[in-house]
Amino acid sequence: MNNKNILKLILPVLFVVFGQNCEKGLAPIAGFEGRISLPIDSTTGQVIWPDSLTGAVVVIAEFQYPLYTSVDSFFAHIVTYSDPLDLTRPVQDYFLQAPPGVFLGGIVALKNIPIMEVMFSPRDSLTAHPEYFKPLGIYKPVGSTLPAGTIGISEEEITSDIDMQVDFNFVLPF
Amino acid sequence: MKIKKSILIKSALLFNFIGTILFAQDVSLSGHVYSEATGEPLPGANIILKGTFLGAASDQIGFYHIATIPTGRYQVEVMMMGFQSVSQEVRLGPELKATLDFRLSQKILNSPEIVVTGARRAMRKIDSPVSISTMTDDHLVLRNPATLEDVLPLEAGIQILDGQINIRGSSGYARGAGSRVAVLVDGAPAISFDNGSIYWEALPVDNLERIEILKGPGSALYGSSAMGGVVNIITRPIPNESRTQITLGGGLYSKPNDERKIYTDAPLGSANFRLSHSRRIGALGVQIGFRQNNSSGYYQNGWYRRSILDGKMEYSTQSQSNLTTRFYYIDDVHGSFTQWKNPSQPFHTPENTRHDRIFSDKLQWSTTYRRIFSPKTSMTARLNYFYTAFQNDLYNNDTYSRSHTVSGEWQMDVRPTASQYLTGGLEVKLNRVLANLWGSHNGYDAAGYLQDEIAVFPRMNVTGGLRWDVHRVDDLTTESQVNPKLGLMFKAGRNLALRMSLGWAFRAPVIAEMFIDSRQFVFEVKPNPDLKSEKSLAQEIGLYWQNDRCEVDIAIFSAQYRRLIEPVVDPEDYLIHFMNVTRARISGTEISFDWIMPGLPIHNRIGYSYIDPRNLTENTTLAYRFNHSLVINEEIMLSKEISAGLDYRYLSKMKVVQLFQENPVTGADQRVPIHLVGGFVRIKPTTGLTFNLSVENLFQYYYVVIERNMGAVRNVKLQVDYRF
Repeated sequence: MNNKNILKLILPVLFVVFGQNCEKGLAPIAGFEGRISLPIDSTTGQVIWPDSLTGAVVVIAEFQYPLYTSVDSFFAHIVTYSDPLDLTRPVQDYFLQAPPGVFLGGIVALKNIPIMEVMFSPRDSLTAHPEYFKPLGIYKPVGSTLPAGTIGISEEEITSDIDMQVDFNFVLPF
Repeated sequence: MKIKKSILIKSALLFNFIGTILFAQDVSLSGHVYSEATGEPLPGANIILKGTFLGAASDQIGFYHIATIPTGRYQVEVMMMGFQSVSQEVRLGPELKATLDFRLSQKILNSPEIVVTGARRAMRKIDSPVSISTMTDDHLVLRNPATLEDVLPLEAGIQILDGQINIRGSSGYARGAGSRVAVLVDGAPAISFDNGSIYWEALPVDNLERIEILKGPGSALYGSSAMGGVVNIITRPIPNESRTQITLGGGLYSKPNDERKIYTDAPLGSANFRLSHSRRIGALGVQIGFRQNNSSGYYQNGWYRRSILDGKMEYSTQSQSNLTTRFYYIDDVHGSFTQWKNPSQPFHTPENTRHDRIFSDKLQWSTTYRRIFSPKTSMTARLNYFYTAFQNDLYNNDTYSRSHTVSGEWQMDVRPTASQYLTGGLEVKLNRVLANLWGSHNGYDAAGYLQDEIAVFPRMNVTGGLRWDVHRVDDLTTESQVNPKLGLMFKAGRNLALRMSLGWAFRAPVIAEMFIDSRQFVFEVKPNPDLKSEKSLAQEIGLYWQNDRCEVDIAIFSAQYRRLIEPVVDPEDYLIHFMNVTRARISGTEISFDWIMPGLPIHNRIGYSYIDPRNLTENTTLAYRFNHSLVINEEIMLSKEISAGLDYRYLSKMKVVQLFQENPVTGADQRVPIHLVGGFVRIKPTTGLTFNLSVENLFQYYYVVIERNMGAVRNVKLQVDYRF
């Protein structure tokens, strides 16, 4: 058997053996994305942000209908939240990875908790502390009869244009 | 006046007489080294007189000459990579010139037999009491590496996490700061003083002879940073014939399979060019080279432009002494990518960092002088200057650091008897850093070491060693360390050796760990000038077996660490500090096989490594380590002109990271086991011309090593090399 025949025999075998071992790697993800607008000072163009709030994140909570009866119960059902928003940029894109399903999404400010703790704590460890959160806004579906805050996420798909605005006087509609 | 003249004449005659008496018994040995199969002369063979420092290398026509040998009986050993070593006893009598020719038969397995890193001296690999693995230039060139970072992970037990090298899980990951693996180029240290980082782009990839990797503590000989091992990059000697080399290369990254992941329609790839020339003028050998490497990177802001100038000069005054000077200068500018924009766009950088870039330059200049004073005594002296500088041009900071290290080393090697080898030396390092990232600081390191190797029985060598280090930064406390080691090698057969070693090691905190004051994204890192050195004690037992077609190495190892320095989030203020926090133990086993299949021209290399990295303080797994790693390299020699092969690398899923934990509900920050397949084809159509085609991540496997940093996509590279 000459060397070229050896190659013909062995390389495909190795290729298949190695190829079989290669699974797909990271699985395709699902989630949603959009743009957040922060309030600005009309003279300086800088973001207005009170010192009492340490940061802000986009959150989703389990969808319930009828809607939650209290803000605290909404916070207690938070599924996940995004990385902290950049408080220096008036307009910014965000992304939140989430499981497929229907959720209620909004923006909440963080108070009495360092932003780093939010970053590195397990997502479910904070939901027992509604006192850390202050609602700043909710997603308003455009041209839809769905309740305010409703976000649908399909498997392996990214739902786009979930835009929201920060409003320090915002009150959740429940 | 007359009297004085007479005294001078008499003195000259007396010295001449003494000289004649002293050297009258010296003879010379010369001859040729040939290939047994072809009869052709073999250049580059090493001819040594065993038990002495006397020796020579054969030249282009296979000729060697060893001068000033005292008369006596010697064992002459001839070694050359790819050939079976031979030895022959010779009696050098009163005749002044002796001649001895050698014919070497080709080994089937082409791997280096001699290593220099384990004991700071040349020794046969089989005699080493510590784990040493080697990578030859061939192994590197076939894979067209841009830096050594691309190829070192093809060695069992080695991983590089975003630039931070781990040997058997030694380093973990701290954004490159404070390497626990020392890197040397021809024995000269190449780790920056300011952040203790290895700059892979500042290490040569051209004209390498081999890379030696010491897998275990090296502090008893190499001091701080060698706690987890040593990588010694050994450049090729300047050839006797004049040589010019032109290399042209290019690469292309594949587009990700998902439209969302693509951040540009432009093709992504790399290009490189190198021109080098070497020649000898009498006793002087000179080599100079220039390399340009440009790449777009496979992710946004992953681009770089590098211009490299390197040179080497060798001067041999006589066979007993030589002087080597080497320099390497790189001017580099590259984009900065800290983490992805989001997991659905993992090759995008966040918008505000899109124009971030870093300017840097590095220079290493080292001069080594070796002299053999007598057949039993030799000396090596080295002067090394290492400069690294970077200037960040980032959206939120413009920090910089410039680091200078001047070091001097002096080493004596003495063979008092045929069965004993003494190595001792002194080292001094003067360090200075000018920076606004961690402030400006001065420091020095001083060390002395001694190592004694004794053949207590004909088949058993015992090695004992001790190194004393003093480390000082500014006017802070001076730290002093004593690190002993003990090694034992038992030759159970001609081809089989059993080894055992025990070594203490340390790593002094680097400037970055002590004084960094920086904020990036939400991470705020604060200084901790009270940091102390971390310490370790490592044990290993191992087995090494070789014959002309096979090499097997098995090691069982364990290392206990104290005061391990790690970046820690302070629960009080949520600021990150480097702290001496952890007691840890990393134990495991490693097996590597390297063999040529009987009857088939296939070279197989398989390396498997298992580690159990335990944080003993918290009884958890240490972060950024892989429990299992497997490397398989298959190379098929189709003909003299064509060879091809495949590489496979597996890393088990990283269990623990420090920052972004996996979210089981949403799937965010998911980590997976890593399977990477690469391939290569080499064609040498005519003498001097070589085509190397290689591919990395052939099956476009998506993975992360460090959180929120996607691993490299498929990359196809072609390099054409012409030598004349």
